[in-house]
Amino acid sequence: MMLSSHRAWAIRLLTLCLVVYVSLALDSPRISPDDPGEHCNFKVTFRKYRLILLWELKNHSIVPTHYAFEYTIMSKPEGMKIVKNCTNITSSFCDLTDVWQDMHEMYIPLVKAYRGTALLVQCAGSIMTTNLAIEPPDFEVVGSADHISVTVSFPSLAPMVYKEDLRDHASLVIEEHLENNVKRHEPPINGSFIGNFSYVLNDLIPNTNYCVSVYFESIRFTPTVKAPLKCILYQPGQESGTSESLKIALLTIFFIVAVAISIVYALRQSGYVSLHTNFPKALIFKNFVPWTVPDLPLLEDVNTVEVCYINRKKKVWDYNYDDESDSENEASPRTSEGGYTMHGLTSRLLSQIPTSSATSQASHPEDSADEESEEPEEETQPQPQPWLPAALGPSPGQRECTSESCERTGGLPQDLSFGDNDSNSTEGSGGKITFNVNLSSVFLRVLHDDPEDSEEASLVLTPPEETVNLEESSQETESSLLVAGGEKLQVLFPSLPPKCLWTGDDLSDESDTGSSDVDDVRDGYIMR
Amino acid sequence: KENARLLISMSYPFPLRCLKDIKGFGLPQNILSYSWPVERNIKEAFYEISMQAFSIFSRHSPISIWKEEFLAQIKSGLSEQKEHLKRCLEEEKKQSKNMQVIQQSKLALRRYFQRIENYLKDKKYSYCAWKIVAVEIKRCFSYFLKFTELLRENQVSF
Repeated sequence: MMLSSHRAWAIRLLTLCLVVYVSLALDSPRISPDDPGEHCNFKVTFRKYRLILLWELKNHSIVPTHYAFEYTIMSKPEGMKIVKNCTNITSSFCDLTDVWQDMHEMYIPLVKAYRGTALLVQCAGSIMTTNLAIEPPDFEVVGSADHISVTVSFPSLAPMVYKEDLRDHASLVIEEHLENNVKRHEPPINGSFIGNFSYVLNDLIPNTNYCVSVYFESIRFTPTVKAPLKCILYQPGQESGTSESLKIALLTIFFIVAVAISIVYALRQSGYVSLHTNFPKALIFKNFVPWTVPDLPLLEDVNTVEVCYINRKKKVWDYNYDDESDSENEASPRTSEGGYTMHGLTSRLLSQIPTSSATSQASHPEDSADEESEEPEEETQPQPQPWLPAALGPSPGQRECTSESCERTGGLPQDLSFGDNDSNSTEGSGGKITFNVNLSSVFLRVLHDDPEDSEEASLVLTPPEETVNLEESSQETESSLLVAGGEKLQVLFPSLPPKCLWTGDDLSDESDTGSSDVDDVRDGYIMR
Repeated sequence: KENARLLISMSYPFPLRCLKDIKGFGLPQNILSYSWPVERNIKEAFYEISMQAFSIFSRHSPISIWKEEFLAQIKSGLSEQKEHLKRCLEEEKKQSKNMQVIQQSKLALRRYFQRIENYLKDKKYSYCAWKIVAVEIKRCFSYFLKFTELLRENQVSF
């Protein structure tokens, strides 16, 4: 019995201890520094006249992708309230200007941090409206002649905090800092903080650096946030900061320009620099083209040029049948001057024959005619000109060519007028054939495609580079001359059959008759 | 103002787990209506608040929740405030004849603080209950501070 009573008492005591211990454990009003949910630092601020709640995770290693914000109030047992613009945000702040409007209330914010769909951490806090920090407004400091002007920027509408005018909760304070002294200004503002407000600081010490700070001061809201100091050097007579700097800039530029001008003038006076107005032609860049564009060849029609050879062979017969006289006569022409050459047949590439040259040469016939009358037997130095038979019209001898032969020669014009046909006789003057060609008498006529023109088309060969003495004393010589001439001509006209080459036998002795009858224009040629 | 700052520090930060114990105590805001005489009414109300708050913190000292030094500061502040208001009210009492409005205000405030005390008893002076009570008393102080500012700025006509 006694043992059971002892046991019962022990059990009762143990049970009581357990109850007490459990009660103490559950209801112990002890301080818990690590309360769950207190993982954020909250801050409420009135920034740019907006009520902003900011938060920051205490554990910076947690980097969420987005947040969800909720809140409740302490005055009533209401559930968590969702803020529309702060449900799924990446920023760590929420604009609650139109949400929190009771300044006496204690708000309980709840922030949930997510990474994707996973909840990383949720933190709660308690926000007293008295914890509100009103950030300072924007302001400018401008120095004037006798004062410093402080201009504060307010919004166009009256700023409201907790549904009440800010003017009812705070006053504007301007602090004037001078070295270690701080002077406080509380400018009287009628009505709300609207628009720009200017305040003048007077009684300033000249040439002294003043710093100004502006902020809102509230007896209700404990934190006071002051704006960073803006300093200005007060100098009497200065108009404004910006105009002063502008004046300094203008003076600096003027000084530099004046120094530059004086230096140049001094150098000029000393002769180190001499200024000229008349520049050499090489330095005149008026029409200077930085690059030279090669002139493209003119795209113009290339016409076959007819070289009209004017044969003004004059044979003076002195009724002397001696060969010597002929030879002398022959010699003289060979060495004669004044535009005559022995063979006198040259031509140029039609592609190289400009129209202007044709025109200029065409204007020369009169001159050449005059020269011939004076010095018919003179010869000139051969003109080095390229000569291509294919580019030429038919040679004088081709008039006798058959059409077939002429075709073989490359389509040379059929018509050939090198003088009158009648004058083309095979009779020679004792086997001596001398060609005297006045180069200046050579003129060109453009061959056209018209048939009428083709009839008049004639070939006048300009003298080749080498003069050929076609003098022959005998028939052999003549023939050889002919051959030679022919060969020469063959050489000159390799594509032409020999019989198509004119050897000069066609020249008539009557060519010199009627010297007064200078011109016998037939088919565009002048025969004498 | 200093007592309000002390109460703020008592209630901050608020633990999340205590949200379930939140209760509305019904602060009688009508006692601060702009009725004549407003100034005396505010002083009477403020005196009642100071006295009741001092009583709560003295009779049921939450030493385990807050530090003893901190509790001493708030009790000292409330006591000083109470005594100051008492002297002012005794002087005005001699001059004032209309006490009916003042009694109604005091009665409302007494009921208000009774509800707070009953809450503490019901919650058995728990940690969360004390947190909630500290927040509520602070709210009451803040409410009255606003009207004292208005009184100072002469926005209330007498």
